[in-house]
Amino acid sequence: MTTGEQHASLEQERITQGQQGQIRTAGGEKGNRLLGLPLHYLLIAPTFLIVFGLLVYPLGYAIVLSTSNKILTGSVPFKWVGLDNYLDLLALESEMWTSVGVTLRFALVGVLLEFIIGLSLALLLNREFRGRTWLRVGLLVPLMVPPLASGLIWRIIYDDEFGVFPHLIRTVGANPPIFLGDPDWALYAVVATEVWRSSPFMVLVLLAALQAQPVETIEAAEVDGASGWQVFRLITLPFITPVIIVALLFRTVDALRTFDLIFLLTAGGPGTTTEVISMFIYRWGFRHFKLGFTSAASILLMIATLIICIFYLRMLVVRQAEVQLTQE
Amino acid sequence: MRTNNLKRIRNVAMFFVVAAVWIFYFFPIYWMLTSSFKTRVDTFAIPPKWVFWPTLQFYLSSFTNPKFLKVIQNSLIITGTTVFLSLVLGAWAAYAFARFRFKGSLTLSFSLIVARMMPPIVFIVPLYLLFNMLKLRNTHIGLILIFTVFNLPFTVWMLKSFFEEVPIELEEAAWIDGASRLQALGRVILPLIAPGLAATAVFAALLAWNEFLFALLLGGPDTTTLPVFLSGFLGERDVEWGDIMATATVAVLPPTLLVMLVQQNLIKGLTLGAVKG
Repeated sequence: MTTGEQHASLEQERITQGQQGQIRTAGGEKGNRLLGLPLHYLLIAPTFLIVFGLLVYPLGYAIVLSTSNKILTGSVPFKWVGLDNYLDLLALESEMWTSVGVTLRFALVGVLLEFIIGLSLALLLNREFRGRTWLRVGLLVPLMVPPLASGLIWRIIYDDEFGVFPHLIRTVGANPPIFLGDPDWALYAVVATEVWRSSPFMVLVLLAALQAQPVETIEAAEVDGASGWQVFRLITLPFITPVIIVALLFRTVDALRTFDLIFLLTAGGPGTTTEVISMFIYRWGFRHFKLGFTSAASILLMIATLIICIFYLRMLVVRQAEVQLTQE
Repeated sequence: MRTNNLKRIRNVAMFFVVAAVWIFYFFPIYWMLTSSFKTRVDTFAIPPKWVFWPTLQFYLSSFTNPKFLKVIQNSLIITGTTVFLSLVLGAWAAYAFARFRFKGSLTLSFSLIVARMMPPIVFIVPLYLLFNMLKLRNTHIGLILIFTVFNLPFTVWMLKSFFEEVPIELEEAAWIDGASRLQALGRVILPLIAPGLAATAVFAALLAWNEFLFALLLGGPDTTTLPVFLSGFLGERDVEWGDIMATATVAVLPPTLLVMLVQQNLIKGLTLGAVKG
């Protein structure tokens, strides 16, 4: 085939594929195979091999383990217990519900605060003022602090003897609680740390969405006499909603997996007042070594995470369908 | 006159808001930095000391401590290899997903997102038993494998979004000139998305550098990474905050500087390429 013919056939292939609404994968068929195998399968094979070996297979293993009474060390003989672990976990008096409650409070309060702070600061940074660029770059710093280190930093800030935060409260004449040791305060002290570290994520992502907004639409609305609030509610907010949903999804699943921060700040205490679900699994697996029971808890956590993901993704799909309808 | 006054009030209000934001986000960082230069006496001083004579003793003692140097070495080896593996494997898969539409391609690529959303703790018990059985616990290769697996969903999706931005015509031109698909990928496409590759590498490095759960439970004395080393300080009877804060500073600074370098692709990196910034 001459180059010209080849080019023509490429064109042809692109056109037919374009008609089918597919990704344009133009190219000589020859180049799409290597050693007689389809190239795309070869390219994804390594990734999915190790994903299978280290995620899918262990998950199957966990499901099997969850129906046993396996204990890492100890004299209890191994036996299959069917769904007993699940029934124990889901029983009304189970400790798991305490952890679920703590996790939900941690995630809801945290993500809500992050969203409010994030949206306000994103709107602020979307305006012109002196030092705007510096502030935007500066927000990266807390975001880069690993949860572990942020736990350590806030421990010396909260310390009831030499910590600077209780000291500041004392200087204004009030009596500070023992932030990390008081059952009423500990969870919110942890949430504050998480908000400090993670709200820049919301700020930066929402700011990116705000800046992608075409200026013309806003100007047109202003010419038509819309107030600032109307512009925000009717034009800006619908425009950034998909990004808001994505950002909330990421922050929610990250809040549900929180481990490092709590491990360092309170280790779940005092009592179990800050024991999020990850700490609960860690305690039963690596303090009490009840691996069967812990596997059952892991599977339940997996199912809960899936449900939350589906909830957000459906919101995203519904939202996009609405946009398409209004455009038609 | 009135509008002038209004403007001034607004400016002052703005100044206070911005100042409050700076204090909220920067005070803890500032406190970490200063605490790493404070002597033991100054750290435990009541009331807390704002002005003090700085000392380098904790940095000197850290960097002359062979144990600490070994930890840095572990962190660098594990992070470096993880980044290399997740970038190479991730680029292959990302290219396949960006340029081929095949049976199961959507399901497979979305299954990676699901994997990214799963709390790592879900996998810890079976992985612990598996690693014991395969003698992978307390080995570098074990941690590298597990970090790579948790990095791959991210690198695949991030790189996929960069590949999709390259017009296919460029690739076609290379094929017409006689390059095979893989040659075109290596010589035309990858150089074009170099900034994207760099950003992906930085975020992958961040994840491996900061990972704690697996490093703690699947690692061991031979593989102690910086986060595990940091958490170990608290178990000691006499908590030496100067040491902790100096080590924390060493753990925080390199990633922060790296991220500053790839700011352009920051938002993509934070959202698996879902949001452009």
